[in-house]
Amino acid sequence: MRLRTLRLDQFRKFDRPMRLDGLRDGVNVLCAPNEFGKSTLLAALRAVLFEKHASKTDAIRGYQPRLGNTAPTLSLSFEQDGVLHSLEKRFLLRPSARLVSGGVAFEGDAAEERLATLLGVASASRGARDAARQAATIWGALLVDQGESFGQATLGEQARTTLSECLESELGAASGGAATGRLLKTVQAQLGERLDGRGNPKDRYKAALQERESAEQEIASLQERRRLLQDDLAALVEARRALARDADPALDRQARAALDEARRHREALLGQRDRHGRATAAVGLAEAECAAIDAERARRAARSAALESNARLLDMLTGREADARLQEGAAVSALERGRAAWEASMQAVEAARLALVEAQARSDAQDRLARHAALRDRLADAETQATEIDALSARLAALRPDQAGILALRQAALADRGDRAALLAQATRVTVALSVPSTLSLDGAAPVAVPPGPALLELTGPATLRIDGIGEIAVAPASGDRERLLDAARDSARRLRTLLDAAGCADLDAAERANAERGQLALSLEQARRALAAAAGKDGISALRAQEEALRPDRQEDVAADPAALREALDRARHDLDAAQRAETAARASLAAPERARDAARMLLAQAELERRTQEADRTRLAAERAQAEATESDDALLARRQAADEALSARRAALLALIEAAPEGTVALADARIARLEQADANRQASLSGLRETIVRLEGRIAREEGIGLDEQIEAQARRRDNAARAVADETREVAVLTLLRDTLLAADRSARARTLAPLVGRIGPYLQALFPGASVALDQDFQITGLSRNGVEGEGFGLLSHGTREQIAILARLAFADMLLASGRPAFLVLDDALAFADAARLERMFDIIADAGSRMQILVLTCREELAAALGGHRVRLEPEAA
Amino acid sequence: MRLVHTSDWQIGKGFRFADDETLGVLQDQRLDAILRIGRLARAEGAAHVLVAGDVWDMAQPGERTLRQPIERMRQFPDLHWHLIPGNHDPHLPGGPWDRHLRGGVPDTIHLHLLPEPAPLGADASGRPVWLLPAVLDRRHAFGDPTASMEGMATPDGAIRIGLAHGSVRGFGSDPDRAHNLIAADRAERSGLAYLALGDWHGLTEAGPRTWYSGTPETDGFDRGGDGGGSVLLVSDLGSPRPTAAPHRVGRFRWHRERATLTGPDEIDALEHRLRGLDRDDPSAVLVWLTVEGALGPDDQARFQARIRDGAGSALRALRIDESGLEPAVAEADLAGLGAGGALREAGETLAALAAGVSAQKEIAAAALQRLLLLARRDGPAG
Repeated sequence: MRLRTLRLDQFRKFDRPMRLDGLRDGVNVLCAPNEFGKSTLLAALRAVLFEKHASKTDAIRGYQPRLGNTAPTLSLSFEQDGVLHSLEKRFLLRPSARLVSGGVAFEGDAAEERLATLLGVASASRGARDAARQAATIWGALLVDQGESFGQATLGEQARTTLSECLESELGAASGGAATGRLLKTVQAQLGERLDGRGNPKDRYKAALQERESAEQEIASLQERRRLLQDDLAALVEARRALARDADPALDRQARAALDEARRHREALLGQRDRHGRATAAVGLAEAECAAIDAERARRAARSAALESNARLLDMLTGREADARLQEGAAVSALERGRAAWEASMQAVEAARLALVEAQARSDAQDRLARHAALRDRLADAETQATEIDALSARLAALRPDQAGILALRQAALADRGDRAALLAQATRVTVALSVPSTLSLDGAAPVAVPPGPALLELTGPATLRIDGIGEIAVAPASGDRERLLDAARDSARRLRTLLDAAGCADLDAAERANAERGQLALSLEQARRALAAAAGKDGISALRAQEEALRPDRQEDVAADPAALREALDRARHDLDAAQRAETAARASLAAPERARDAARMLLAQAELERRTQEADRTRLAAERAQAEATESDDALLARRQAADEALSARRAALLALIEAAPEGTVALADARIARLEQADANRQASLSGLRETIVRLEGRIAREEGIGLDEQIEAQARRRDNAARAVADETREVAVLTLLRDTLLAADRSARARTLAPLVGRIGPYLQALFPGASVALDQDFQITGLSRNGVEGEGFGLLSHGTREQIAILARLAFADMLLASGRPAFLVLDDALAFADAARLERMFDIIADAGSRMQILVLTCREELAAALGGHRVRLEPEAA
Repeated sequence: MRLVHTSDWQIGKGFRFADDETLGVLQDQRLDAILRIGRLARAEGAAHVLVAGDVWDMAQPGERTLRQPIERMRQFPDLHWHLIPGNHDPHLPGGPWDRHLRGGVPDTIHLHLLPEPAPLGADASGRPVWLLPAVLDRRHAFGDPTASMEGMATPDGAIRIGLAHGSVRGFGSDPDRAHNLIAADRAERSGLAYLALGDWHGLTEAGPRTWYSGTPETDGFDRGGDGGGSVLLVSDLGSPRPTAAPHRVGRFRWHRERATLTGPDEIDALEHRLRGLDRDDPSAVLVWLTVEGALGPDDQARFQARIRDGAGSALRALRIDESGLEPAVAEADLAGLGAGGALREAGETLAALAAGVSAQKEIAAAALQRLLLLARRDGPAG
């Protein structure tokens, strides 16, 4: 296949017609700078060869220029097998395809089909008929994009098949690889109809599985419904049987007869109860009559007996009353005698008490005299201490300075000393050592003698030292602060003097002494106050004086009696009173017995009188009652009535007994219970019948609904559906197993065969490789990928471990070898390299150019490059992409 | 008096092996057989048709299935149809009989659901003819369902006709099966002039004056007797040995065929045999074919074309059991995969697997056949 011209219009960056002309056999070189459009040119070549004109994929839309909705249009002329073919395709807007081959024109899809045949991809892979997927064909190895040349061509299944077919043609169809590929494809397609990408059933296979499962679920559901129907049918049979049993009219008749009988029995019992009540009442009345008569007779007998007893009792009570009166008289006499004795004893007690009062008065007067004397002594002592306190207090009040004054004096003296010391510290010190006496006049003060010998003069003011016989020395101190200090010293001395004068003291020592005396006086005063308190007591001297005044004796009492005689008289009076009191007590106690005897006699008398009167009243009442009863009904008449009543009672008892013997069995309560039981049983039976009828209606309704459905028939239909699905599943499962085994076996055989048939391809690569790497050979795998490079028979370098440059060079050699094989098997081939050999050093580049030039003698090669020096070294035929002439 | 004796209609029966079209036809023909029976009875002057059980195939048929046979019988108002339950359609609450009792049937259709004698009329000599039905009220009744016939009182001199469903004891019955077993001398013991039985699907004489009519439309392979498809026309009831004459009413014939195939001639012969089963109407024939032997790829294709596709389309149904048919791979077949190369290697691998004893043996054989077929379609190797 030889390309001749390529024309582009409205294709990507080319929004006006461009033309690549003058393509010749052998090596053609298009050299142009970056961004010129070399890769666009390769894309245009792919598009015109492999894209369907009617396609509107995103890739196709990407062919349009950036601005404008136009129709990318490509034209290609090429030669194949000595025939010139002109191809033109227009995309997107009014898309079209036209191929003129040797004067025969093909339009549209026919043009596409014809083109595919020419390219050798028509029968192999219709799916690969677009630029995006042409990489799967061998053309993917021949049209090499920028950057693709660094790696090996990625060969799809279609490409591998093509190569296998080429190898087979060289090996005389010994490998069978092409046929194997086609069969594999068929088998894969058939498997793909049954399994998805993950090997799970799909489509018909999956549907059969689902159908089987669905049918099984439906069968289970129907069988469950049938089971429920059978349960309902069994329940219906049972309910009907129970209804037939319980709805028997004989049972109704029996129940009604039993109930009527029970009610009749109850009526009989009620009549019997009524008659029995009446007979019992009659017996009771007769018995009451007899009892009333008996009671009346008893009352009459008791009354007669009571009257007799009453008479006897009255006689006895009259005697007992006379005795009682005698006893009372004796007791009263004895009591009067006792009372006279008691009054005499009381008079003796009064006399003894008066004597004791008099003796006690005399003893009390003697005690008061003694206490007055003691008080008088204490009062005298207290008066002495009070006088002492008054004297001490007067002295203390007259004493100066007081406590505040002494404190003020002390502070003033301290300030005076301080001021003077400060003045002295500023004094001018004059040391003299005079051998004669001298005087010193200081600041106008009286002169002071200065004895001979060494002396220190501290001068605080102007001074004059006068040395007898010699003269005077005047000294004037020069202290700046002296005047202030001197004033301070004078002020403090004056304040001290004022305080001393106020205290009446010559100096501070005198003041301190006066203060000490004050302390002594205070101490003495405190002692005197304590002594006064001890003498006067807590109430003070005034209270003491009052006590003494109160106890001071009258003049009559001043005569003191003999205390011993007084005590003896007092004791004697007490003794006499005690004896008189004891005698009075005894007399009073002796009255008790006569009083008790008198009271007892009086009580007996009263009781005897009462009893007598009571008996007399009873006798009167009983006599009246007896007279009245006799007047009402005589005793004889009463006796006759009693006999008649007894006869009536016997007759009624006999009638009652006869009634009891004739009574029906049972009681009314039992009869009521039986009636209630029978009525309840009947109601229960009726309720049961009603429930059974409802159950039957309900079951019949449910059964009728299910019957019409024909569960057995549906189950059979579902079973048939399940069996059919199961057969389909089995068929599909077996088919998948067959296809899987066939696929795996074919794959294994294909790999094995490929390994044996790679030799021709290795042979194609060999000469190229020797030219580049003398002594080197390559190893290929079953997918026609170079796996390693051996040099001089030494195994070893894996392809991935080679340098980028070496890998690119070897990959280009492989592509050349693929093209050689295609051409040798009569298939179309040409090679396009876009910016290849970027990493080759100068020596390798030269050899690669030689190899490409050699290959150019067998195939057309189009080299696209941006490097002018490379294009120049490569030689070949230079072509240009230029705007089409108007 | 003449009677038609039939049984085992089994309306609603499912044929799981059949495709939907065949199923519909088979089921329709079972109903149409009723019409053929009616027409036969009318033609032969038989006023009574005795149906000895299993009118329906199931205890819970759908409403349409329930009514269809009644509607067919309704078309013959001059005939009396006497029906009893069978083990497939026992008289149970909610069953087909119960449903018809509630819904009512034409007066000419007599549902005998109690073991009580019923008069059929009188024969030509004026002797009364009575029917003594046995009733199955469960699928499997213990004991002899016809035992009550002995005690059934009929007028003096009456001709007693028994009608029952079950297996005659000692007549091909399973001795361990204790249900629905009918005494072999039932006719004699119960004074029956004729005992019309159902249960066996092939027409069979089960004893003196005792017959199985079989199903009127064959419903399976290996049904015994005549295979089914007939009814009995019973006449001479007053004679010591009434006449029971078979009359074919069935539409389909069911055949079991066997063949051993090793080459094209045998395939051709088999096709000839199958087509010869009924040259006039092969669509009335159902065949269960069992083949064995070994066929190469060409013969497999021939078998597919001549038997499966050819004869299979001509017959009503062709069911093939080919588990005994193995693929035969000759050297010539493998040669079609080329002298060497991947296809030949794959073929030999599969052939070795198919000849082995592995679990994949059968799958491998099929895969080999598939490979040969695909390779042949792909074109000659090389």
